Amino acid sequence: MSPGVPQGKLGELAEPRFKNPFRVVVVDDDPEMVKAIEVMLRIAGIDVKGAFSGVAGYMLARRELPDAIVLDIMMPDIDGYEVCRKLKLNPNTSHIPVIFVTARTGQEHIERGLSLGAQGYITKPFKPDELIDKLAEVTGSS
Amino acid sequence: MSAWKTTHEHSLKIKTFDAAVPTVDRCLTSVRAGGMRVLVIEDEKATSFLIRKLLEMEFSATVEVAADWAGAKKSLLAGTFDVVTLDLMLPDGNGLELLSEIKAMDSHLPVVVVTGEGNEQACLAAFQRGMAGYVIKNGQMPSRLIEVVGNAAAAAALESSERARVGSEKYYRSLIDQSLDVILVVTPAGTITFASPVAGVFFGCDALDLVDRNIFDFLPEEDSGRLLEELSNLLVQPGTVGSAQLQVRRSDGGFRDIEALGKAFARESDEPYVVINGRDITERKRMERSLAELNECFLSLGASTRGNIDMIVARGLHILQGVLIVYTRGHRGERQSCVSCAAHPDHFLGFGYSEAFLVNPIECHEAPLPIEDISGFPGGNGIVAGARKAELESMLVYPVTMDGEMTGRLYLFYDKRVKISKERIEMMGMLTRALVIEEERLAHEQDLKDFIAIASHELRHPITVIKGYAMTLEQHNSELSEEHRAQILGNINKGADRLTRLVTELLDTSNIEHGGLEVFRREANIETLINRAVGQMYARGVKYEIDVYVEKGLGSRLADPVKLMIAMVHIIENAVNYSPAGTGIRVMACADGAGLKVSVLDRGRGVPLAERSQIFNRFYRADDVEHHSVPGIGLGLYIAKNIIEGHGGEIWCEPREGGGSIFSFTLP
Repeated sequence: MSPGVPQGKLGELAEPRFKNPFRVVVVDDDPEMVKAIEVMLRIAGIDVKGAFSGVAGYMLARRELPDAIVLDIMMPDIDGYEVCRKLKLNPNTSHIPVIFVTARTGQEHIERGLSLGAQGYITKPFKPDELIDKLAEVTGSS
Repeated sequence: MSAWKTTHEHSLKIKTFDAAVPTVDRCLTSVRAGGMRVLVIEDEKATSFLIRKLLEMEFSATVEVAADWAGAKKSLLAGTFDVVTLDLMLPDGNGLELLSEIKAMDSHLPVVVVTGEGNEQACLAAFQRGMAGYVIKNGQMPSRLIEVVGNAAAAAALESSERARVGSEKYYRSLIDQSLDVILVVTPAGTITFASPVAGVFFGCDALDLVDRNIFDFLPEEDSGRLLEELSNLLVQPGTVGSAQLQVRRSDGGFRDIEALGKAFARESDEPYVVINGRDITERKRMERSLAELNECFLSLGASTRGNIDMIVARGLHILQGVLIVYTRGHRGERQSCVSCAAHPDHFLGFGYSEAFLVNPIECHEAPLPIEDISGFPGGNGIVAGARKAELESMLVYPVTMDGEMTGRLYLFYDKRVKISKERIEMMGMLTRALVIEEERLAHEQDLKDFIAIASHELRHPITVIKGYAMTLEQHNSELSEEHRAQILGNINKGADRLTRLVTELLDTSNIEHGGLEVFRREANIETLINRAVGQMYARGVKYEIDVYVEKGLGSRLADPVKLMIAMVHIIENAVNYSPAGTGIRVMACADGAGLKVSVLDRGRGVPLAERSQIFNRFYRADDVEHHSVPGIGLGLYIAKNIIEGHGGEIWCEPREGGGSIFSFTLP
């Protein structure tokens, strides 16, 4: 048996990168993507909760008030831009850093995302450390 | 001046060309040659005998004698005579009155008076009544009679021949007058000796004024050279026919094109001449030049579709010699736009701007609409009203259609009244077809862009998942439990499967687009295929209950089993993707005549009526395709449709009673 925690959630390690874990909400309409990001972040010791639509993500963020939000842009109900705008308008959530993680690569999309107050814009595919480092940076955990 | 007068005057200017024209001498010879019939009206037997003998001997004439007025009239009514000799003193009447009566019966019949009365009064009276000669019964009578009768007969023959000739010429002149061809007679030096009335119209002057002018004066230098060469060739070999297309400078300075056929005639007595028959081909040449320009325009089209559309519109204006052209376009829900070109900005005055054409377009659904007189065109349509305001006089609207759907209109305007000929409409049609080709290219380019954008976007998702797990495994392999490693590897595998399916769908689509979907038919057991397709869905971890009902004894059909299974998987996958959790899916197969019908029934959200025909289009979910709440790229049903149609079958979608949809296909 290898080291680790066999009974724990996939990705939970005995010696994670962050000793003081922070909490992140991941919003993406592709369940496989949410699951993969969850595993990547959990391994670093980040506490992750996932949502599969824009509306669900916004509700989850309002309820959980996480330390950061990882947000896809293209979702069927309301898109990531709209979720970000709502979060930034809400005084309870406006301080939460938002990082867009999306397959939209055009400069105009990046500029639009950042203009809405997002702290980061990462395009798919990305390296796990790229996202983890950005989260650490925006949450002051590094 | 009437047509006949014109022609008649021409006839005076034509050099005589008939070698056998009769003369008095020729007629006299002919009279002496015999066969003349003479009526001698004479009551004195001795005189009538003498006259008869003289005429028979001199002219070998056939002579009939009448001794009185009554006998003369009887003879005149019964027979035909070339000459009459008349005694003025008849027993039953005055010879002068008989003379009048004979001339009233036939004014051309020569009557020679033979009388004993040698007074001037009788002679004058006879002349006034139209006698042809006067012979007094004295010693000179025999010689005088022969001379006078001979001359009278010859003069009558000449007159008769002339009458026939004039009648015949009048007939042929009228034929030439009626001819729609330009007819010219020219000398080897090019001098015009005859011009038909149509020639005058063609040259823009009175036909009479053309006579004695030189034809080379009307031709540009290059054409003069060609005509000279052609005339020389014809004159070398009289009787042969030559042809040439020439441009003629009219008296008003304009040019017209003529297609001329020429034939030379050589005469012994006179210089040779060439008859030219020409046809006005100005309009035809103009069309040919326009077609050549159009062709050149099409050949110069480049790689930029939008640039090409601009060029076709601008060159179209020039080729069709209009002053304003506006092409309103819009395809596949694209925003409507205008491409326009004007000879002068003022031509837009009535419309304000070219986009005005989008506001209230002219209705012309299937056929082109020519309006030769805009001012007289009924209705206050914005465009017609605008054209009136801009003082445009004629217009043509041509519908632009793609795949049976009207996607735009091509408007062409003229600032003067023009005849919108069939040829002009056809040219406009050619322009619109060229525009359609460019629009199709544009749509294809856009499709390709969409395809690449969607494909690259779709591929990023499974790659992100695979890369994320793989890097996690790479960095934390030793820290992970065996169970977690196995789970991560399983996720990588699932991601790779998703990637494979996407790539396969893209490749299948690419093959379909390039006409490469080949169907290899062999015996395929339908039930086995359906079970395999359902099995594949379960292997992907589908949690739905899928029931299969296959009619007993359905057996095998000739089909491509690999492709048919791909089609079934896509149809079942579609049902799975759109069905709420916990609902079941049913696959049914039964015989359909000699063929087969397969249906997939779901309890999903159903397909609205308006979307049922579009659901099988490529990237139908395009607006939704970037979202992943429903997996896939919007190609599954498109691929299924192409596979089924490749088998000669049909596929459709209908609502299911109680909610949901039924997707069915048949195979022949």
